[in-house]
Amino acid sequence: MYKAVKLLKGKSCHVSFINFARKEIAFKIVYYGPALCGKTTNLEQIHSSIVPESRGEMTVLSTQADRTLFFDFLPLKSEIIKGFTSKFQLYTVPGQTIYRETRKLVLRNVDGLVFVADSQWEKMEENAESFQDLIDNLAEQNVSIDKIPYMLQFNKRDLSNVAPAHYMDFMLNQRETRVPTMDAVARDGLGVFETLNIMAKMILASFMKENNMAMAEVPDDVCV
Amino acid sequence: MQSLTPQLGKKIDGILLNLVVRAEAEAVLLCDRGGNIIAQNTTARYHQEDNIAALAAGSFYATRELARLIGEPVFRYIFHRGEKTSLYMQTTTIDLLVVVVFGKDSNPGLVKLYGDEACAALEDLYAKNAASPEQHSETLELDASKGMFKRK
Repeated sequence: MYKAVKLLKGKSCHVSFINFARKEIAFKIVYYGPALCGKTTNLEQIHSSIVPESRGEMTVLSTQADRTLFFDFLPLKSEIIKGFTSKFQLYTVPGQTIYRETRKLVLRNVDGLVFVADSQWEKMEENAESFQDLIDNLAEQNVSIDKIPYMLQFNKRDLSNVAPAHYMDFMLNQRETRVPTMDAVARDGLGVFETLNIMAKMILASFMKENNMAMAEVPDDVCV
Repeated sequence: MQSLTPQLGKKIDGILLNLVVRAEAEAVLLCDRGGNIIAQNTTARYHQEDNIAALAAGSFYATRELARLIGEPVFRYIFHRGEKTSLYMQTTTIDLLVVVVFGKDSNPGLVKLYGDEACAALEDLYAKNAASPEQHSETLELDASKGMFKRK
């Protein structure tokens, strides 16, 4: 049973943009995480595995060494809300420390966050620094991470030198509200669509809740 | 919530149509700071308007940050001149971005002139709307039969 939500102009809502004129609702999802953790790979896998009519072209702004310079962008669309085109706009941030200002720009008006953590033991410190960088950059925009739907993806689980998932969960998932986690091998596409599935459901649930749809249900199989 | 009512949308469409005709442009996009397209008017087919809007917003706000770093309040205009097609971007005081794509037959000076006029008209329109907001309500409903995204 999917209940209707009545939207009134001017009502407080987290969703970034509802265009009643164009019958579009836009949601912005940002993939955040340390350098070389697999953010771009997530978007590449989504781009290659999703049917063409549900996606636009992927824009990649990288250096000659294939390091993200500004952001990557992949627009997806769905008809999950009757009479509207729901646009899910996926962005990555550049993970390298020097690009902090760029990350702040990309975070503007974000609706949902996927924090991609590198599972290798030697990357734990970078994961923690990047997560704190995320919290700080949001705070500079007067946004609390606890008010935004977000989840953790533990990537590169196929490597031999990885930290246990429960250790990474203990390290990164200790805020007041625990968030969903997903093991992944983004290079092989494992856990990538599942991550997108969870994130999309969280954003939709937040959208419904903030419009007084407390009992609204989001279908489990929306992304299958 | 940021939202745009159909009534306000029609008025914006009129402003953009006026701009695209008078400036002899190929396309005009109105975007918000997040890169969302609020309205558009194109005389040529641009299939990747979402990508153009996202890149334009990113580029413009990166430039704004550059301005801040060198002690300038804001850069209001950006021109990118190409051999065949050029791009003009202008921000408004209401934090919206007007993106104009125009060909070699258009005059950059006229594009800027009419871009200025369009921005002023948009600012006036939003100010009036803020003073007496148009009411709009609509029922939204999930349609699970459509699913979300489909794998190949």
